[in-house]
Amino acid sequence: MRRTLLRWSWRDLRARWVQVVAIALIIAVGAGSFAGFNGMTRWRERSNAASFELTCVHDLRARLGVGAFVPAGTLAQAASGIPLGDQIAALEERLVVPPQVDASDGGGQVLVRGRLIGVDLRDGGPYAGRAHAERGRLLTETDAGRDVAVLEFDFARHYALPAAGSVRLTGGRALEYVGHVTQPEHFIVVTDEREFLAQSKLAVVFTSLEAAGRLADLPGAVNDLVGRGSAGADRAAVQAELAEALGARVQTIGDDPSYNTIVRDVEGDQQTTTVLRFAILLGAVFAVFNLTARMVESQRREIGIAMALGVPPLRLIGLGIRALLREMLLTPVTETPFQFDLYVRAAALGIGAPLAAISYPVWRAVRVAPIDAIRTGHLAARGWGLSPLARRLPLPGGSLGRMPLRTVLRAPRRTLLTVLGIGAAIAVLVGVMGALDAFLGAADRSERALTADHPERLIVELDTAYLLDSPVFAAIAGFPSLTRPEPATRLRASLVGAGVEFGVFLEFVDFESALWYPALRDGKRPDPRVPGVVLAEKAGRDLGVEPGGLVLVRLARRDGTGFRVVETELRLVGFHDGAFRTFAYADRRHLEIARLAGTANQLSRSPRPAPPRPT
Amino acid sequence: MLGPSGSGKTTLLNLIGALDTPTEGSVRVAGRELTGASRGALFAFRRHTVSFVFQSFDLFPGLSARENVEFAIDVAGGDCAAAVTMLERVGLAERAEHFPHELSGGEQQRVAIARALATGNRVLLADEPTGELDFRTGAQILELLRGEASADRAVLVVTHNREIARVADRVLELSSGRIVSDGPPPGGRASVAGLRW
Repeated sequence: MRRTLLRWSWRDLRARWVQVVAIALIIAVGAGSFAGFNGMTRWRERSNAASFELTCVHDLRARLGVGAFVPAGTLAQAASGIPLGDQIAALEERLVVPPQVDASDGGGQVLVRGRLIGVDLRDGGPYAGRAHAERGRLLTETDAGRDVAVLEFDFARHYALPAAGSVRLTGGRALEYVGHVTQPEHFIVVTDEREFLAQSKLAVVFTSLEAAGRLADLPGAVNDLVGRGSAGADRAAVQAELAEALGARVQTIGDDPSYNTIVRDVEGDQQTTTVLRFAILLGAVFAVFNLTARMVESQRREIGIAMALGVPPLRLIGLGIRALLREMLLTPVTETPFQFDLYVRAAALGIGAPLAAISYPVWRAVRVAPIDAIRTGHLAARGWGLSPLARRLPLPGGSLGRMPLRTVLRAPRRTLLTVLGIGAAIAVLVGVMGALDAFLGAADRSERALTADHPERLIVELDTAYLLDSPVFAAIAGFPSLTRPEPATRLRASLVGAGVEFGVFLEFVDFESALWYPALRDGKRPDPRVPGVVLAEKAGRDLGVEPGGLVLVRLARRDGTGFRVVETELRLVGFHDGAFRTFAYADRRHLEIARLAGTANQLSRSPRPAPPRPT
Repeated sequence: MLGPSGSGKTTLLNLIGALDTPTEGSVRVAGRELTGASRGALFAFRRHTVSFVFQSFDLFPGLSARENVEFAIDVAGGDCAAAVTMLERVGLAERAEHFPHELSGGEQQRVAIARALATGNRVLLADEPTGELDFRTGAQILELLRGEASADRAVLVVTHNREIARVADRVLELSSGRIVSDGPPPGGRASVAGLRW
């Protein structure tokens, strides 16, 4: 019997090749998406691990406060003297300063904020946070002290810069660059303000420690220390001892925003993609179910004839499955040699789900009496489903107008499946669009919160804190095209509470400013007299504190000629409208908390309105 | 089996052929009790005891005439080589490789009869086999069916046409679901050639 049954099946398949191809495509998309989304996570994890290993990403990092520098060797010496010093495999000092970078090459102006990183090139270093050459070459020991640099790859690619050329830094100082590199802290370019994918706004320039000191007028100075723990090191203990020895907050690699985004957010992405891939698979199953159900319905009469001839139902179901398997062999399930289990799982789902989808329509078709399957015309129209329910429902129009609703009610099962299938498709669409919308909405909200009524506001960032009556401020105030500058002080700080601690930029600004202040969510101006902080709602939620409550702030306080980490409690004044928890604000009158009253490291100004044109 | 539309003759035929199940009463065919039989037993009964000829032919459109006959033989567990012989018997040897849509109505019905005969089953059930055919073609079909009725094979034909019923050896007349007469054809038995339609 097998031969003639298969011939019947094969001929039928050929006659319905469009539907068969559609089913194959739907299965391919469903199973492919399932495997692809899942596989992507593992590929990312593996790629990330390999990339961070290749570039010797640092485990620990100590950064001095804004404007604080110490002579080279000071940090390394203090760190290596800790009791657990033997658990540190590599320890390197760096100098990180924020100059403006002019990378204009004749094709257009490229003038952006910069991050000049001076690294120790001795003995083939650096050994923590190495660069990987994408174009050109890496820095070598022979480049130490020379005005030679390499550019961060994403920035260079964004502006289509050549593999070698020159850039100018603040003060008109020129640097020759010899390549484009990726570096673990900048796999994703993040500004200090936590702007992600900021390669268009931030130029990261790597040079030797000596050259960086000379270019920043800070010869022999460092302000950054990175280290790698040896295998089996107790990193938490080392971190604690380093913090104690250096008197500065020591971050782990987990605090690095780029690393976090790349590594830790994979888990978050995985949750999102899990929902998406199951929704897509569900949609595919429904689509296959609907399509096969309709195909089986159209085959119903022939199935009835076969049953009248005595073909057992199980053999008919087997035929359907066999016919489907024939098509399944074409399904392009994503295959990678490293993910055999995933391949098997996706293939099983890709086969199993459609099999489950096809089984019910076929089973339903063969369980009826053969005569019901064979019957056509008025005899077959004996089932009216739920349409009698609509009999007393007053509907506008004549019988033609009532027909659509009656038709829908007549086949409630099919209607339900169609609705579920369409619903699954819409749910996926809405989910994806909603996620994008939420992301873009958060970015827009933050931008609105930062620009408020003065989108033209300019912020001048200084390399360190200056007294307000210093010549630096006088020089900036002298620009006639700008309004009177308003000083601000940005400090790095940590917020502690509810078992979490995270870093923020604590900005001391004038809450009574006419130019900009951190408006509360209800639009009101925060009370400048209250010694407190304004946080993002997300920060408050993470810390488990509501407005009026106390927030533990850990920051560097000036102590003689240096700084000392202190903890202080500030009242939460309210929530600002920004989406990112990284930004915290306090009024300048309370700058004494850090013993920095009368200083600033930022100036906010806006352009003066242009004079009216002569008529 | 003779009767007007709605008299229940097709229903009775379907019950005899185990295509339908009775709501009450019992059905016994060729010495086999069908009432209460399992689905498997009913499938086996259809495979080995009864064969059908439908009014609308009901051939598999995707299979040729020969393959349609082979299908039935295959299901019944016979030798598929007999398919060509069967088609010769109904005068369609030359059309064996044609698909149903390439055949006339009479030819399709003859393929359906060949399919029914090819199984060798003892009971052949035909539901209005000439209903969609013209007089001349219908007569050919009747001749075929008449010739197949023998001591080894019962041919049960459903019709509402009294003239056609005269070809039968025995006529059961139904009205409103009840047998109202059982005996030789009313108006006397006649050959197919002697029918006046």
